[in-house]
Amino acid sequence: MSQEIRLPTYEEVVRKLRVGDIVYVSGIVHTMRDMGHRRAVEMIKRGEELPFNLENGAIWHCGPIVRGVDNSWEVVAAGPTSSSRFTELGAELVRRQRVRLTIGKGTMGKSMVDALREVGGVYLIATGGCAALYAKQVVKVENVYWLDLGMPEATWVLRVERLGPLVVGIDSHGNSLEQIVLEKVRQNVSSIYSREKIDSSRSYVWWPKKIPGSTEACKI
Amino acid sequence: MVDISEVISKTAYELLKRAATKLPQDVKRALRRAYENESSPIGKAQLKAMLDNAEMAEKYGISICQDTGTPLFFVKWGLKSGLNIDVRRPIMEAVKKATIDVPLRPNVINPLTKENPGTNVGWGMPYIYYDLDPEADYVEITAVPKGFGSEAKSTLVWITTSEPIPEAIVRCVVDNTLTAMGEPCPPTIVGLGIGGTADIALHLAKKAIFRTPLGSLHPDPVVAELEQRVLKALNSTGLGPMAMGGDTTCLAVHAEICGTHTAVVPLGITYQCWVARYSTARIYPNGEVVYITHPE
Repeated sequence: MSQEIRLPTYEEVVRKLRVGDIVYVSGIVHTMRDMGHRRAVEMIKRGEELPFNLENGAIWHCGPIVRGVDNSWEVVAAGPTSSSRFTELGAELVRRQRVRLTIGKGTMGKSMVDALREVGGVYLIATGGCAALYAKQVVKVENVYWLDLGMPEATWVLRVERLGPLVVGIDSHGNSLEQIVLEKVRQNVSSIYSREKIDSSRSYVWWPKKIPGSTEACKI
Repeated sequence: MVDISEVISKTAYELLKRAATKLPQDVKRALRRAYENESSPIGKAQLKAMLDNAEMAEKYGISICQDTGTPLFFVKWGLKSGLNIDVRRPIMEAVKKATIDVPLRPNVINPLTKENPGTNVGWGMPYIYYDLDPEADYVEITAVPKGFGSEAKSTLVWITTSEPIPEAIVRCVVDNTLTAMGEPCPPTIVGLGIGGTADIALHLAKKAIFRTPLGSLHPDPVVAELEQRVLKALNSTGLGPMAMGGDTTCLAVHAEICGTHTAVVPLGITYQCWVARYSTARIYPNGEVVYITHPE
């Protein structure tokens, strides 16, 4: 059974969604990637107002291919980008702007799970690589901001009609599809290890000991 | 007289376009097989969206995925072709044209200043790998618009020779794949480069991805056995399409080896997302072009 969501949407609507539900979304969504997230959060922290309204809205982790046609824009291809890059900044936006839907691929970390539970929002997973399919669901480019960041990194304001199928990856009750999948995977992996005579208690790798640039590497 | 530069430019453009908009036949077949065999409803739905999307992209001639990646070219120079010309300039022209016409997403930025010229050309991109074939009477070009969802999950690890190497490799690939989860867009093609040096291991891993036909085994039975072990292990994890649970996590594992130092074995692991975009053609000195992976 799939569910329809029309934007703007509200806490009572998204609270009803559960991990694994299939969702189709209609209305206005804002695309945002690495540089856009950074700029938006910095503006908010400086007390400035964003040039667009995310309240009760949707952020799509997506850098579309867009073509200028006459005096308007046409989306040629649009699909999700990997979401785990936006865990911290995305959680900030959910908290400060009450973003109800965050759409991407993969998964998002604990800060996002917490923010979605506190504020009342969901993370929706689109099928990676399906840019032709999703582009056909974009009916209009309403506006574009921050084009100075380049076409992929700009924030495109898109009117979508039944954007989907999207799967609820994190619901507003602290559940994450990743954790459900991993529970099963963990059992499978231990039998793979024993079949392949792999000792999981031992490190087979000499280097890297710590990933340079990670928080772990700073702990000498 | 045929203008070979012109032929190279036109062919490179055509290769980028075909790669971005059409999956190779063997990849399509592998995805269809995965769809037919998938027992998880959520995994099956993901594979259905992938197949529908690929069909739609091919029908309308648009990019399968919006991340058309960075433009890479593998050039194999047949010494019997007698061709003695620059391929870089015509390939750069092809990338600029494809970026506007296909269109490809202008992804290429300066790695320090983040400047984006909007052309996918700059600071050494498109990147061209050169190889020689003493027997061939053609120049073979493979165009790879390499998406970074899968690229950014590549890794290099060093396994000490006191360890059992095949077991260590299975362990490392399983662990890395579980850390990556859905972000490299499974079902993936996994490329492994075993031995050599750091750069050789990763380069072999990258090149291995584009072995055709998809899923063909390495001629060395020891390497072939490892390829099958890794594939079986990955497809027993239950991660499935987009890591939402299911049977097919990986379409194929291709491994290459190189002699290495007695102390330590570098292992390069690379991924290609299910949108496996590569296209190969051979250019003959008379200007004839034969498309290998995308005959139409």
